[in-house]
Amino acid sequence: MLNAVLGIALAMAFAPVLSRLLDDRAGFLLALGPFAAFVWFVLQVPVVAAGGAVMESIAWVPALDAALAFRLDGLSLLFALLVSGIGTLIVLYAGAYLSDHHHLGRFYAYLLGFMASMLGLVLADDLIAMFVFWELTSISSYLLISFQHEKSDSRRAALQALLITGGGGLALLAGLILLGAAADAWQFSALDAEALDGHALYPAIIVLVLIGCFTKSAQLPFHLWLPNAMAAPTPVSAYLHSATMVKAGVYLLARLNPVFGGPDGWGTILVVVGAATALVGAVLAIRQTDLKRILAYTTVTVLGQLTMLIGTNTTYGLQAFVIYLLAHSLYKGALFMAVGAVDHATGTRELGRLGGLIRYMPLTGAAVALAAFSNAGLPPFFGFIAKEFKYTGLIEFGPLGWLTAGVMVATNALLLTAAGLVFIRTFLGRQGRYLREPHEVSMPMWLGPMVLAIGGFILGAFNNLPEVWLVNSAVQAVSRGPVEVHLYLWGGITPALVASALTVALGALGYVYRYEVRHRLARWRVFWRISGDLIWDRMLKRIFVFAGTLASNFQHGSLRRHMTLLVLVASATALFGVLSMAGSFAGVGSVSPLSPAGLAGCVLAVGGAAGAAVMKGRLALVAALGLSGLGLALFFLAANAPDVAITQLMVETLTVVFLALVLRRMPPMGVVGSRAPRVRRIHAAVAVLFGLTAAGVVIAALSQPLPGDIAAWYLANSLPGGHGANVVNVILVDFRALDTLGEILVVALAGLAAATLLGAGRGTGAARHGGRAEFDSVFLRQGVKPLAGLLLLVSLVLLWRGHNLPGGGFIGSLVAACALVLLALAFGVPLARRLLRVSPAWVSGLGLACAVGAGVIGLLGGGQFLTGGWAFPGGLPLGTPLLFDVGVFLTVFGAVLHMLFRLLESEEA
Amino acid sequence: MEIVAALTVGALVAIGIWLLLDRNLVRVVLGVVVIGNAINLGVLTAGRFGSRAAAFVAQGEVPLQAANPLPQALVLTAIVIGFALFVFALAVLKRTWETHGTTETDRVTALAEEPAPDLPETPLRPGGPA
Amino acid sequence: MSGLLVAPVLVPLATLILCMLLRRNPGVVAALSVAGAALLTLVGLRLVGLAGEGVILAGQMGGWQAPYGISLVIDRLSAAMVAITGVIGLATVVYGLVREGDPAGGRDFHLFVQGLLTGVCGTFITGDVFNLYVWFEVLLIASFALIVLGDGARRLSGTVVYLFLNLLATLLFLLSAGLLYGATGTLNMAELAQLSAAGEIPAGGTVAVVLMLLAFSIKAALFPVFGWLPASYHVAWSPVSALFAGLLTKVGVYALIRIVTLVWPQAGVVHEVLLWVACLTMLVGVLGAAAQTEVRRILSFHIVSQVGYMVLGLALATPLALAGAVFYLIHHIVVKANLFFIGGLAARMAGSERLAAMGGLYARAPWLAILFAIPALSLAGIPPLSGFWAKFVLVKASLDIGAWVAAAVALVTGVFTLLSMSKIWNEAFLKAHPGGAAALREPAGLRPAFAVVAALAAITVLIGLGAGPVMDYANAAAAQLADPSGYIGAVRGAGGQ
Repeated sequence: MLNAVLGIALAMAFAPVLSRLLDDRAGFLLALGPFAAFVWFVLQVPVVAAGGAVMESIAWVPALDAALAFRLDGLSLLFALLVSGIGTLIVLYAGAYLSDHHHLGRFYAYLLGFMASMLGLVLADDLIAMFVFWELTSISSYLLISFQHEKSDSRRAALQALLITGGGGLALLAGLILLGAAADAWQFSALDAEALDGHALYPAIIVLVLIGCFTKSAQLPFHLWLPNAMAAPTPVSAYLHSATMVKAGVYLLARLNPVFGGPDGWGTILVVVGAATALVGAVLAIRQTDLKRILAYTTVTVLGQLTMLIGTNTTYGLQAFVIYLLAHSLYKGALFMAVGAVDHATGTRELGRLGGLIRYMPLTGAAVALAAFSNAGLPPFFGFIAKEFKYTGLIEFGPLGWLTAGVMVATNALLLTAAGLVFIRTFLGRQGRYLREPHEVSMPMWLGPMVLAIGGFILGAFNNLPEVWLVNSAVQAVSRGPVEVHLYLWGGITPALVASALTVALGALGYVYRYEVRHRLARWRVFWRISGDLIWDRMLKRIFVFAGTLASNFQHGSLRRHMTLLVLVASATALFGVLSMAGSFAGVGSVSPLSPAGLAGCVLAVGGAAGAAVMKGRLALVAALGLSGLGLALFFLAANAPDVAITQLMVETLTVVFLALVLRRMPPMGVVGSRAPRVRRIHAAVAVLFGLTAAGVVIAALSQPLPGDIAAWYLANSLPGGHGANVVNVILVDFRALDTLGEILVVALAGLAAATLLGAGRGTGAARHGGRAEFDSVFLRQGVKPLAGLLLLVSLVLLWRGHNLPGGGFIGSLVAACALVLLALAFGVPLARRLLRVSPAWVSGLGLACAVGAGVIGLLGGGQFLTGGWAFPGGLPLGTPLLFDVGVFLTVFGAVLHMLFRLLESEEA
Repeated sequence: MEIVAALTVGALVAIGIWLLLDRNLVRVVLGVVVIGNAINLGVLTAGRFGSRAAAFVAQGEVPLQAANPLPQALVLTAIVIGFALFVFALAVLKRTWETHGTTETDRVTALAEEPAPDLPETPLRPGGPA
Repeated sequence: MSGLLVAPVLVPLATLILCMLLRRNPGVVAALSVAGAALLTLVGLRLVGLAGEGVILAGQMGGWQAPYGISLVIDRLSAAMVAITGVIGLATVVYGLVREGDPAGGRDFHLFVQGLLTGVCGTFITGDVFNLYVWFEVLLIASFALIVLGDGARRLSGTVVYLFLNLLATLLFLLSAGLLYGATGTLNMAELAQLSAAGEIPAGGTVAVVLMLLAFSIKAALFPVFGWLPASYHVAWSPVSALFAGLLTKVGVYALIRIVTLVWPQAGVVHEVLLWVACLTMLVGVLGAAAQTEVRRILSFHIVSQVGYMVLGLALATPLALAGAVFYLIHHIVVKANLFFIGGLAARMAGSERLAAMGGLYARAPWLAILFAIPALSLAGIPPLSGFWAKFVLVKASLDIGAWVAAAVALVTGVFTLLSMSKIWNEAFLKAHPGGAAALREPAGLRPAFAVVAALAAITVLIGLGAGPVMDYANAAAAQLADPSGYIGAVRGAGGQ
């Protein structure tokens, strides 16, 4: 069975190539795929008819109990025969119908893809595999419906079908998952009906599964997509709406009927929804004037009837279901194909323009006649038997039965009227008005309708054939227990026969008074309004409007609004955290005494920042900010963190330099305009809130003595393990050197990034050669050179001694960078560049290489990355951490210079 | 001391947020610096104060009540990273001023929500500095 | 072994250094970059092979024992993330060879991509909270450089939003890392997990972790703090936005998964909150996408909604749900990056990325249409593609524990995803081009880009059809996550002095 699916999929893969090579003759070759499958299924008929089932299974996702399991029983076989048989005819038909279409190859591919999915769907025994194929039919039918993609109608219809069936599919998925979990089985054949009866999840499962089936089979209220899907080329309609797509839902209902069809609501829901669908479909069908749309709405009717029949769960009902399914697939396929042929031959499908076609298209006409008789349920066609059984089945159903039988009579009468429209109005009577002379279509186009129509006749007339070989085993698969099956054309004078006669009479009347009927129906304005597409459009529009409103709350393009939200959420989260654990805080733990220097630092830091927050002058701003940083440095010093303090100092210096360089070319702060007081108040509140939050979480973290022994360990191991007395530096270049590696990488990348960005503003290389000193004073310049030299020297000393005394790679590099900053400011960038000889970016690359190299040495020595290797030539401790520190020095030095040079150069441009 | 430091963190953060919410991009950049400083202080505070000596172990003797070296190392790292990011932000500020002709935050950021421009037919000038 | 452990960081870093040193020669830089990314992919695959055998690689950098030195740990999740990072990195640099006429193309692009890969891999393998912060910064600065690459007013505008919101997030992370140390006395994740298991994390530490999770949530673009993402991703050069779309938010998701599973392996209040956040993220993201009219904006909002799925897996906290989150991560990174790549190609051909100004691609470029359809359908969870299994597992996990709302939201989000994908399909592919067929362009030299897109689509199909082994791996990864003792044991056993 997998081979059948794969074979057709293979044909799909080759379709575009083949149709390019062979043009429209490719269809004959491609039809071999489904035909071979059809033959194979025919060969399985004896096995299945004898009560056996063919099984196949390949593991797929064992962890999820998903397998590619197939099982061919009566129901599957019936469907498989229809899918592959009608599929073969459709492929041939499509080749003729679309012979001059530009994208015929693509069409074949979609059609065969759909066929493979549909076949997989009806063969799958595994719930998940079935669902996979189910969704694939939705997708491939989307591609088919939107085949004429330049038309907006096609696109809309395809999307509608996709969303409705796809959405239903997801409900089905949930239903199947619950079903699998509840029954603890993931194969249809292993589902235990007893286990599910009265299960707590039973209602949820059937509702979800029913949504899936109803959307697929266009049951009320999901029926809209089906008539719209007529935007597809006729071969698609013929295939999708006769034997396949829309029957998938019905198939699944039938498949699950033995499991769900217990005493609970399942049957009632099916009968009620089915009856409503049948009625609405029939009424809508009569109103149409386009042949294809008439057929589409009659399909809706039939789907409703089929759903009703499954719901009856009576012997006759289920037999009627199977027979009717078969009969309908045959005649509806035939009629659709014939209508396509008419369209092809005459260029119209409008009833008003058609008539008398039998003279031009005798073969097609004959096929339509046979199919229409079956459609109308006249003896001895298969449709007749179906109708008889339907009535009997519904009457057996009980109290609701009579009512539904009434619905059935009415809808069948309307079907009969529709059949009349299709055959009598089109082929008989007076000559229609045609734009061009009609002609009989080519063989592949009349062959399909003819084969199917004759099939319907033969099955009806020789009804013990299908009974023995097909219907019996299918009915057994649909019913809960064994059922006795017997088909007949003549069962005596039964209520069913009376109903049948009534149907024919009503249908004939309907046809005769068709204009009257249509006219009356047109008056039900309210009805048309609720059942039309309007609801769909309105719903989509509502969704988009809602989505737009929602999105605009996040797409306002205002950084400040984004920021406000972020800060508020952060405050809320932190405060929630603090407050919810309020009981667990032990109060502030170890509080150390105030130190005057620290206090002064804090005051300076806050004061400076506050100044920066209110000042307008650019220079004052920079100065205030610098002061704030300075205060912080002072605090760090007071807190016995000399390295941090020096770093803070150096960084603050460079920050001020960079800021001053950038800001001097910008407008003064005042010009931007003032803000509304209300906004200002909100912002102030947000700022204060977050400030309180930050203070709160810091205090929260301090609510007990610092646990752990990390600090002590570092202090104890710094000298023996890391050969350094400056524990902070040893942590940076040895204990936690990986952090430092990442950090200098940040610096190097930031240098590159800032330089690239600043470079983008320059004219191409124009400024390169300019070079202008920033300091005009000769006196200043005189002092700069020795100062820079001194700073460079100091930086090297700082680097060297950093392992034992305050200093190290960072601090050293920042000092060295300051030296070059001075030089560049005093003598221009070109001189500084010349002094450096190599490009700063290269220096920072080299630094990274040193740092990584120092780490890799440890790796090569058999240890971990960054493991220190030490040698003591002459008692001097030399180790890879020192090389690492050199790397830090070079990287930071190069990156800072890279940014600075580029900044100065961009100023000159 | 810890409480004072925590309050300082709070004050600096509040000022920083105030700056971040300014309509002038220059102050937004400054806000990042101020908050960065505040959080560095917060990290150091988390390591507790009260030490009598810096974290040096000159003669192999661990001084009594030496400072906790780990937060210091972390803060040192964070300071340098913060500086790198600040310089990049500054470059963005400068380029923004040059290309937009304004530093009004919301006017600058609103442009990104405009509809996408059509792509030019011919390839653009191959850019990037040499 | 110890070399392999650091290789995810060292390979891109070494590539970056070589590129920096040989910066004057753009051809060499591009070649190095491609080679480096390919090597990273191989390293990732080797790690997946090792991790697949159940090995948790762990080591102490510098040879200093935990918690004093920094631990690196590679379990199944980390290995998978490294491998997928390699794949996306390779795809990006190869795609980046096609400059598409954007000034962002060039050697600096490769430098920053390697930088970004270093940072991303670093976050995936580190076992230390502060080290995680450092790697976040590395990838952040690289992403800043990349997003603004090529300059221009529009790009700067998006960069400003991206820059400052991310800076704020990262400062939040720094604060929480510092506070975490102050409250618990450790930065080592394994030790943190041990403390948590012993119930020894003080209240202040819990607050710090919660704050940290918020910082990750911003990175991961969860509701309601995702605003930075749709405000900025669409301005960058297309391979850059593809790289971001694939990897950046997922770093946040990874960090969330890592910390939450280590600190709270059992479901609790945090999971409850995350569950609601995840549902809202899915819904708001997907609805936001429905409102968009440009390809990359639609895709950007979908990143948000898809991140919701992954966090849902984390929030449900059952082994199956975690496996779903892992599966989703792997699937999503490939699919999302690919959609951005394809979006870039489509825009290049149609001359715009506004849907109204696009069209005609289905007739003109059927291959591109097929290549779009694969990841688009996968994103919407259509079987048998990778996204179906990811979604299936999460829905099943939700239903298994009776999280009806979550399951319903996950399914409804699927429908809307389909809606937006079909919107792109309808407008950019099916509809005729508003300027007529002649308005479509056929840029030359797109072959590498097409190769990338086709390869990623093939991965999507393979993950879908061969979901068995992937699901087994995800299950095993989830088992490691659900029980931190293996992780702790590996770090404990990593030695060091």
